[in-house]
Amino acid sequence: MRSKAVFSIIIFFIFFLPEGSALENIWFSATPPDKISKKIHYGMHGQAYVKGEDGIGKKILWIRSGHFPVESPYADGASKKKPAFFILSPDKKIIKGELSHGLPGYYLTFEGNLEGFYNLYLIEKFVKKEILNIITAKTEVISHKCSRGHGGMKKKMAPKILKQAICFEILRKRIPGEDFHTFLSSGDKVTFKVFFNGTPLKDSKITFKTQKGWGKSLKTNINGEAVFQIIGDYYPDWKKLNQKKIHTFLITAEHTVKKTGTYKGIIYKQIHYTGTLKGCYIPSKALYSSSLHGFFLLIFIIITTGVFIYFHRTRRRKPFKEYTFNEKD
Amino acid sequence: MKNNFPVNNRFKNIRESAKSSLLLEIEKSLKEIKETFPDNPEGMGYFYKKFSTVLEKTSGIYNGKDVIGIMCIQVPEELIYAVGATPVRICSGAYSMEQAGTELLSPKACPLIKSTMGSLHLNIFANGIEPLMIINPTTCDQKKKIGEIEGTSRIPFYTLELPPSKETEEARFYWQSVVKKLAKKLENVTGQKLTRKRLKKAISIVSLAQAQFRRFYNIRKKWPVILGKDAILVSNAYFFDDIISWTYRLSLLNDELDDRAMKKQYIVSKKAPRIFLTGSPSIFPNMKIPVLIEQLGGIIVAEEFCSSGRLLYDTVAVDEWSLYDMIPALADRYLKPCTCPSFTPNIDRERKILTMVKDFFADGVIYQSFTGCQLYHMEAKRVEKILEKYEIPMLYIETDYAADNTGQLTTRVEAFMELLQNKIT
Amino acid sequence: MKKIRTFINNSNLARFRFYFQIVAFILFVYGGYLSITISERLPVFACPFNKVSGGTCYLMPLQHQLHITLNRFASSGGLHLLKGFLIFAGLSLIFSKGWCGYICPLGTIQDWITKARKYLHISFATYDKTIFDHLKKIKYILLFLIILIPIGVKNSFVGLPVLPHDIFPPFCKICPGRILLPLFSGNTSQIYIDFSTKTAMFMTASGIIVAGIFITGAFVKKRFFCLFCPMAVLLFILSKVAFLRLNKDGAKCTRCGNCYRVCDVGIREIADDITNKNIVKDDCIMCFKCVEACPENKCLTVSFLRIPLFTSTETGFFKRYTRKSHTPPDSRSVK
Repeated sequence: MRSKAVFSIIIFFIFFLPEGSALENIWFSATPPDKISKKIHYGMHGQAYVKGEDGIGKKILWIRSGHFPVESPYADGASKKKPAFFILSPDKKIIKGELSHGLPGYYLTFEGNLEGFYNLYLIEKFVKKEILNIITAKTEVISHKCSRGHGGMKKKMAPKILKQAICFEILRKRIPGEDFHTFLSSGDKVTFKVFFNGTPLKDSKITFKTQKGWGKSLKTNINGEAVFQIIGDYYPDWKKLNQKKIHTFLITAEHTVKKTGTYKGIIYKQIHYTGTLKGCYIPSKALYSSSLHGFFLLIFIIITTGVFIYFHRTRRRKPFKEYTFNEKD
Repeated sequence: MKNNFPVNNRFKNIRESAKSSLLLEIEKSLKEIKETFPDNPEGMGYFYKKFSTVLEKTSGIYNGKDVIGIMCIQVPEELIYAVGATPVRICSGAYSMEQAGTELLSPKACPLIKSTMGSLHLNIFANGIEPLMIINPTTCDQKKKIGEIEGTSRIPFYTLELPPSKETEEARFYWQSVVKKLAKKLENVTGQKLTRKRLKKAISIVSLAQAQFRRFYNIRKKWPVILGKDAILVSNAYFFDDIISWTYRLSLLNDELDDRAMKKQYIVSKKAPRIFLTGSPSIFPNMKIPVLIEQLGGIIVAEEFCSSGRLLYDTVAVDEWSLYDMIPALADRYLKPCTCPSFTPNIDRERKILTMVKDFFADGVIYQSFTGCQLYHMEAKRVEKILEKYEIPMLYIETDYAADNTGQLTTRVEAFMELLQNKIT
Repeated sequence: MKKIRTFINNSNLARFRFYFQIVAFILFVYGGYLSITISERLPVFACPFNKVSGGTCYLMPLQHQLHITLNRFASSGGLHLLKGFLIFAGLSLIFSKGWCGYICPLGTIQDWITKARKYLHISFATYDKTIFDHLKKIKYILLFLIILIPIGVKNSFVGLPVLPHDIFPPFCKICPGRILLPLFSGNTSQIYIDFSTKTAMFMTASGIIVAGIFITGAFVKKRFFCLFCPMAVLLFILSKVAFLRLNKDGAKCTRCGNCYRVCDVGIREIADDITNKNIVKDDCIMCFKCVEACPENKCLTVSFLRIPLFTSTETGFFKRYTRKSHTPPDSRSVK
């Protein structure tokens, strides 16, 4: 057993970039392209990982483009340039990683052994039609081992932002009582907060999209917050119901600033910030479980056993009535 | 079971003569007990008086309560107290009663049975009581049958079915149901309802008596401040005395004995042979063996008799203070620790004798059994073997209530005492 | 020193136990409000489904640690299992079965239900000896299944298919603690039936049925659930070498049977066994009611690391019983 578990995250960077075209949106995804889908497992904490050699598990996140989680394409083909990335460890330090290229895209490896959330950031900048687009993709990756204990949950769960390097960021506020074993489910109300240069931003357009593309747009309030209720969009056949099926939701926030400048020799007059955050949710328990049935069964059992015992005791008081004989030879 | 028999002149004559000879017997026995020994504890005065007035109908002693006659030690007395009655044990130690009993039984029967039969037939009881019924546990074979015999008594007998074994769960639950039935019968007979409060109070009154008895027992263990003949008298007084005054008087006696022990005012020298008695019970006025032993210089430190040492030793452990648990608690207390030889197996008796002999530092054991008592006779050999292993000498005596074989008895006991003296020195 | 000892030996241990149980209950069921986590390998049922629990019962991490592929037993999985067991064993060795009688929240709930029954003057049930002997074995079967089923969910035995995932964790699904303990912090979320698969339906329904039977059973039988508890087996095995002991001096025993009659779980061996020194059986919950009920000096002794803490005494017995039966204080007032 190794004293240090090497914890790798592979980010497959799939980038569809025809000459001069712009990416509207990029985000981290846990859903794999078909080729290697068989090797993917989902662990206890909803993280996708590939079983590696030597017992080292590697977590995978892909980058996809588009606004609709279920329809967003993976880009095929080689990338043009390496984007900037940051990895923020649970103790708020930027750690190093290695971005390599393999099929079907780029992947990132780093060592991470601490309890908590690792924030992954990917920044893409390009100029199109005199607008500088800065797209920040973000995801939070859970690192937790039950054997390390469950103390100090509030501190470990707290969400973080990276003020120094990221100018436009979305943060998901934790629901009350959340711990590492909590899954968001359909029907939960989740609050998102948008930060611009480290301070909450108001009146930013923020869009929530479910797995199938159902969505809603809001403007952030004075605290930079917006509340979305996760809409249920999973209605399978009863037999095919998977109560732990992990769906993805996508949050996109936008903000435009009028500023003139040049980026790599191209003049721009506006800066358009886009931020994405991916999260996962599972079907609501109400879809397949019933508290009312449980409650009634409990009362029924108590009453039935109680009545049974009562009659058993009453019967015992009656005098002995009949002798019976065993007919077996 | 009511037995109707004519109260004719013959009966009356027999009764009168039996009564007067009983009075003489009591007087003689008491005289021996009191006067042949110096320095009796003052607290004993009450008990001597109790016995000297035993045949007088002292009004108010039971406060007008109903009396229920009981035999042996397996009858739960607390139940009787709880229905507002008083239990009086009618096991008799009187030779004068034996004659009348012999008429109804064979001469070879156990003297205790004959004597009890006599007192039942002649209707001569302590303090002139008139019991509502007699509760008769089915212990030994002779005890079992006395209720059946024509002419025994006018008082109805109630048979209390005692299981022949006390080890098995079946016996335990059977006995619990017997005791429950007894409780119902007592309610019927006395017309009083058995309630939780009453039974709780009854248990507490008897447990106070048990506490004082244990205290008495422990005093005898540590210091030779009271002779066995007095101790047996104290226990025998319990049969018919009012329990609260008995407890009170015993507590006074205990205080006096504690005092004597502190002042080292021992009643015999430290070198006197310490004798342990066991077997068929010595009941006043049949005190010839204890008196004999102590007249010869020994001290009876403890007895394993159902009339003294075993009487109030065991305790009642109640878990929940409601009738559904108090009554089985009583039943369990009167069955499981009982070392009566009418149970089989009776390993508990062997262990008890051994423990008591060790705890009381007894030098020797005298095992008495009445002629005609099969149970104690059958256990004697086993007890002897066990005592041999621990090198404790045992003397086996077969005796009865008659005073005529005192000469032979004296010789044997004397010889035994000498043996013990030699061992001590 | 002697005065303290006499005071303890004459004391009403049952009342002390009542208050101790309340304190332990508050600690283990509401400890989370003060962020107290005693341990995650507890030898009592402090259920993690109760969000504010003051610890976690060992059976849950045990099932999770066994939920690994067989090859991992030889490496990290096996080591985690061993480590967890050692912590559990360490805690068990301190109080041995005392965890059951004085600390376990489920045990405390059963004792409270028993108090309610006593108040209503309803009689308790006793087991027939033959039935008792058969029912005792259920806890061994449950422990065996607790170990086997999690392994069976991850691995296939002799070519048989793996067990469905909905059966995991098997004991947590049927444990009455999962349903009842969260109720104490107002959490009714565990009372539900999961209809998604047949296994889930069966397991959640079984859990509810067991909780219902727990309540009625505890009402009529003292410490009903303790007869079936798999934790009792683990504690029993470790009780042989534990610090807290219940010893008997057979020579002093008169086999009066007082100890057996007050025993909540009905262990006959306390009364009848006069040879063995350690009389803690697999059902014993170390409530020490037997020591309180014994009227012989120094026959039953509770000791911690060989230091006697509480022993049976004659004076103690009579003091307790006169207190319990509310005897009039002065019996000398008559005649």
